[in-house]
Amino acid sequence: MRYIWMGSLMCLLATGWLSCKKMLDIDSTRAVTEENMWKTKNDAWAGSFAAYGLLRAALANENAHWAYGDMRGGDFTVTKRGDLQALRSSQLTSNYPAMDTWRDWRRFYAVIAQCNLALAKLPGIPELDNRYARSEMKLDAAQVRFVRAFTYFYIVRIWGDVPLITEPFKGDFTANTREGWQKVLDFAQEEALAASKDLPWQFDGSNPEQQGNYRGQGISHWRSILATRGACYNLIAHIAAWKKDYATALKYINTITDNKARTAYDYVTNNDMIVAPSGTSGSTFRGRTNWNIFQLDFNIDHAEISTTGQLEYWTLRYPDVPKAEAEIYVTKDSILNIYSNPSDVRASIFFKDMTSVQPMFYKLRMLDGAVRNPTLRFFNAAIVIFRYEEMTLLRAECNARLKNYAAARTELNTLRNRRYIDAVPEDVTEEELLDLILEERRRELIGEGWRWYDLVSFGKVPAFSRLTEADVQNGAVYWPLSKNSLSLNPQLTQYSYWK
Amino acid sequence: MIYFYPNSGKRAALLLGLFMLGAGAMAQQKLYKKADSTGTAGSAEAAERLKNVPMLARDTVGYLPNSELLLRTTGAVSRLPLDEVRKLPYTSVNQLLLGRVNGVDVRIPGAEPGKRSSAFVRGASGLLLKNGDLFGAQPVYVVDGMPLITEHAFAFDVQRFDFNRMGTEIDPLAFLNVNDIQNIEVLKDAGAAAKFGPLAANGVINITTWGPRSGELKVEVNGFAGISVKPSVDVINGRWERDFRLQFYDRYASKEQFRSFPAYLADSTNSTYYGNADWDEAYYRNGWVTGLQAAVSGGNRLANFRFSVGQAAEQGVAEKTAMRRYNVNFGINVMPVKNLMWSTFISAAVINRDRPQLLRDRMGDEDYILSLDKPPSSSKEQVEQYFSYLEKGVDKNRNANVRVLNTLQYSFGRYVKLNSRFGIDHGQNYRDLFIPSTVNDGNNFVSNYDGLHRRLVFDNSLEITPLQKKGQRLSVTLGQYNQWDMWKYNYGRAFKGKSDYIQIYQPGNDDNKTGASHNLRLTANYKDRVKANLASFYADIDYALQDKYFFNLYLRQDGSSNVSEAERWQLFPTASASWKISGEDFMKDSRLFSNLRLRASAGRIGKVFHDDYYKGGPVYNVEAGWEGTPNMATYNAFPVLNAAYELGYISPGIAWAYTDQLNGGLDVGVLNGRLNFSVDVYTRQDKNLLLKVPAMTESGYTGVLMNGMDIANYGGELGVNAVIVNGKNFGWSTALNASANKTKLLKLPGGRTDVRMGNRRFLVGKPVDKYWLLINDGIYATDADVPPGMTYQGLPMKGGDPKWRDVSGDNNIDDADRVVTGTHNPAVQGGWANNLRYRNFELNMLFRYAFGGKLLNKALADRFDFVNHEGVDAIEGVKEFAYWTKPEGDLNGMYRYNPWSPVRAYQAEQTLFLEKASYVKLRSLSLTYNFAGAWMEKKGVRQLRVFVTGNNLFTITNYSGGDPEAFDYFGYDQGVYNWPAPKSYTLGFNLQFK
Repeated sequence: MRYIWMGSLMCLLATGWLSCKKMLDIDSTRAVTEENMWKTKNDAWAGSFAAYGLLRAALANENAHWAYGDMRGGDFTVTKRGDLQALRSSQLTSNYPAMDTWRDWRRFYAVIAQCNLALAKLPGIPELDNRYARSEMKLDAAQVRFVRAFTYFYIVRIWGDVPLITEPFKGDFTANTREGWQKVLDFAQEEALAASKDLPWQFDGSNPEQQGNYRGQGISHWRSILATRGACYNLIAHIAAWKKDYATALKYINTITDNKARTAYDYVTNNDMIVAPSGTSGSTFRGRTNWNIFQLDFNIDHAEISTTGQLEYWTLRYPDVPKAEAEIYVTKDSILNIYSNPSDVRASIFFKDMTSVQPMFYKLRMLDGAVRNPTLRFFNAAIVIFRYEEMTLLRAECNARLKNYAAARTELNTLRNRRYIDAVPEDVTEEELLDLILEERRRELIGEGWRWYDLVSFGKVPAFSRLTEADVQNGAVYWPLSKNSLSLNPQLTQYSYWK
Repeated sequence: MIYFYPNSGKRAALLLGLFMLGAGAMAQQKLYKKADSTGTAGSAEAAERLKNVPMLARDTVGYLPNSELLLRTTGAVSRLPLDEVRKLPYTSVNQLLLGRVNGVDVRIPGAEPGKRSSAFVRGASGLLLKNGDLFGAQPVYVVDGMPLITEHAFAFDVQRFDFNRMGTEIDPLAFLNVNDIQNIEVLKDAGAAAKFGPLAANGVINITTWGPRSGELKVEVNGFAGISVKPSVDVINGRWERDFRLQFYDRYASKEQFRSFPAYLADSTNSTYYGNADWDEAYYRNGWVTGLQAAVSGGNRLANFRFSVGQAAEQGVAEKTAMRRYNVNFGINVMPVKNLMWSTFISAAVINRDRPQLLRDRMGDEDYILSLDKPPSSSKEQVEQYFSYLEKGVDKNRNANVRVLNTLQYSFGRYVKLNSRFGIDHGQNYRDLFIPSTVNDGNNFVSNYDGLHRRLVFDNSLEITPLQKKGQRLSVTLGQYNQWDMWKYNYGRAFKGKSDYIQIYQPGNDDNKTGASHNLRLTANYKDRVKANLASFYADIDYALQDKYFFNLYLRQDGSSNVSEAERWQLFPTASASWKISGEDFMKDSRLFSNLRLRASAGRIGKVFHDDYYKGGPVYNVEAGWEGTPNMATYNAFPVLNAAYELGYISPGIAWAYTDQLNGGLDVGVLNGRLNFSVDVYTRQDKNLLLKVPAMTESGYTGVLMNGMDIANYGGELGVNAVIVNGKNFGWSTALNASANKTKLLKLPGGRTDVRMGNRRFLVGKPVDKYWLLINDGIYATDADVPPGMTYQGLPMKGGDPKWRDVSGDNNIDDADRVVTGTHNPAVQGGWANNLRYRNFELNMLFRYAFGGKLLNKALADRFDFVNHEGVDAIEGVKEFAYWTKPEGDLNGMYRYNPWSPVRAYQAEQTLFLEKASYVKLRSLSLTYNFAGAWMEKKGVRQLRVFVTGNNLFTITNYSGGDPEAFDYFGYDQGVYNWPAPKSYTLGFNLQFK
């Protein structure tokens, strides 16, 4: 009897030992480790589209796209929120949680880090997974390359000189200094050009770079929402224009317009299409149209909807959403001032309740039928990055700067005509013409995250804000760095205005 | 051979449990017939079996044979006087401990019945920055040798706001009925706790329940009923608030700011806000508290049992909250064959909780901000109407818990014993929530949460006692312990159902967008699952010499599945010794000392990680969300997977964290044991802790997770027990406990000396529990008072701005001027109990005290910062019904700053809102009558006592912000979210039949 018990005890302890190894080797059910990533087509798909996803997150976070692009321009008036008020008056070091978030560039560097990583890893996947063709890999990598170039362009406009990081992160965090913004833009321009070589004009299967269905979906799924050759050229044009290299900018815009048959880009066919609500095919801010060159999409069909992160969070109010007062609005005086031409169709379609003290900014109002009556505040407006009208105005500006005044006037008049404004007189000076282009950009692109950058590139910041020319020289047009960035990286310094 | 273990899931475990139970019951039946019930063996067979079984003090053969090993507690242990707390209307173990055991800091941030609370043994073992951090800082609760599994923090990962954890938030420690508990000890040092392995790194609350006993059948019934008293609050209406705000408007507001004066305050004819402020009549109530328990036990020495059922119910005084618990316990001991002792415990409990319907919490549940234009009304009718609407919805919260414990002991003669212990702790929690459209901006909301957690333990050991002489005793135990933990949940939610009468959630498929109840696009589902296993080998060497010198060495090799493979196994040793000086010859004649004992222990205990992704270096995760929509997982319907920028960069080779503990103690008994002292001093250093240190923002990562933070808790405890009068008719005894604990940051990962996280700054060499605040020196009354060039983060300061102290002296106020100061952890805390006896009457009272703590009155700060809380379309703008209470705090003593200033004059993080919060509270008072007399014997009554109790009767404090015990875990008094414990009165009895 005793031996039996002793025997079983031995067995027991032995099994314990044997099973320990197996018992303790459990894969995480919650995250993917490095060794299990970048092995298959699915990894490539998810890892490359993460670039778009993170970029959208960076722009949507605390409505960053409009905080950087629109609010400092002053066209919008703030009702109550102290942080927005401070933002509007460029008190960017003030003490609000959202202000802290806007000062911080981490989310943009997360996009860049993901792009760097994907560009390093994607080329190895076709060898490991034969379902993932090399041609598809090139297509994915080129899109990632575009996102990285765009992100650098985007943050240069916000922070000026920024660290230039192009290699995937390898485990040690090295402190980088701020690179001169021209050099960063040179890099972004080269990258955009490199990306364009592998990208189709459209993801419709008719280009040598992309044949058949991309990821099982046709052009109706992909229109406007992916990086295309046209988006790359448009980005290059903007980068060049920011560097005041208008000839290059014009060259790439012309390449786009010369390929109209392949891009299918066009003006908004009908002015109502700019503001048409969700559910209307061809609506600009629902997107996936021929007039949007690149957009970061929100789509109720994929449950990609949100209460925050779109402009509507700040601009809509009763009766569209259950809120008496919007966070921001354009005052009646401003509306009359901006849309000084009474025939301008935009004054009536971009705004609502003109008789009230606070008119509602009604250009973006993407509330799908599924979330209405009564309203559940989930918006699905795309963040439109580049659209055809904007490109036309950039082209007009480039032509004007390059002294092709007639061409510039033609471009400008094409748009003015579409919005029911008279053509500009033929005897305008260059300065007047540029002013008219800036005004037109203001009218057309209000609430689309352009105004502040336009003021900067046209050199009009002192005219439209409390900042002086000296402030501008000291870096006031850029954002200060976050406390976090400064305290964690001793190599970083603040522009003198923000010191 | 792995199938030997029941690790294939709960089915196998349950089967095994049932099998053991069945076998036990059969054996009992068989033996019971043969044996008498007097406690002595009846038959020859039984007599034979009992030959080698020593009679234990508790008069039972197999009661917890295996836990004997664990119960041999030396070291620093605090015991709870249970006889007294049995009278009090407590539903959770933490409530029992509060103020009564030394060295335990119990935190009950709000008096919601049945809600999760916290306890810290000798201070918090890590940084506490968010609710999720609490889960890893709790002690382990061991019931009869079965370490209970606690909830996992992972549900916070998909939550936007850090309020309640998704699910029921029911206190898992409310499962036990106090009348089933025989003994509660708190094991504080390594010497006492190490045997429980890595679970014990934060201390052990060791609970022993009344087990089966042999002897005549004994029946007992215990019950109480009482009432929690509706609080009286200082109610206000819109007029008060308007007047309060107008003083700021008149002084500072611009025309535009005046224009945005809230509409609901502007109209003084609006009865919703300007009517009678009588909302409290519908909001608060007197709540019933009741409890009833019955138990029966008995059997012979070969087979015996105990069975108990219990019920408890508690109604909260606010928001119609309540909890109801039902529990059943069953235990048997048998000796089926000679030398084999077997005992089985099965316990089951169900808790239902009616939780408060606070708006902030609801918005957290829905992950959706409702319209904040109009706060709730201050009138009674509207409160009643609101709750009547809510009653048409559903908010069911239920936890169900089953515990099975089997222990076996086989003795091979005198020197060798084999112990085996197998236990299951299985808990499920459900929440069904349906919010009707009437109270939800016209859109209804439905969600359900189904959570499960399970722990299996299997512990086998061989105990050899080669030396059993009179003067010496040596025992060596070799064992192996395995533990399987699992947590998971399924959660689904949906907005905008078709009707308020369809309270289910059945979305359509992709082709048919509108399904039976909801649009597929307006639904979301989450699942999560974590497994964590632990394997250990241990050796326990115990040596006692002449009953004066005691030595113990405990060696344990632990392997955790949550540690990277290279670092997985580590040895954790503990040594302890004690010297009973009063047993020495030179002390024998001492009249003064009846007991004098010196204790010391030193040990290292491993700490397990709760998450499973730290073991293989950096990971990838789905993080395409942003502040308002944190859980976005796709881009244009295509899933994304990115390097884990939000979670943080996980350094490769993350190793065990552990705690090094040193303890010295002295137990003194004088005057024939009438006066007892116990003193302990300790240091506890939690080392190599995992910390997410902020990463350079250019890396894209929010932080880097790495080992290397060391935190020390050190302090002392003093316990005094004195029998002051012990006469025939009159007696008076008193017990005082006091503990002091301080923290210190010893090291940060990678040689850092300074880390800022959230609202806190952590400096090496400084405490880790302090606030990080600006110092208020007054107010700049006018622009002229501002020193030239004085700025706030670069913004010029103006009149009406706070005069913050420029600590760094650079004429600019920023984070460099914040100082690390003040902590909510008291310098000294404890309790003072008095027991008075006169004939058959007993009067007991407990004063709970805490001195030297400070609180940050966030509720008051938010009230003054109305500018940033009014009309903001975010969670900060939420107001509750209880908003219409006059804010607690020194209203008149506050500076009248310009609330519109971009410097954010009324930010909570400034010394203006920091206040001393020492207090003494009469936590309980009870008067008992013990029946005695010959009639009891005749009627077969062993014990009968009746008692009345009063709880939370008064508090003496220097804190102006209300109850100094009602604040969140991080030292912020959140006002209406931290409910003070109500006064309550109960009447109860304990009755035992022979």
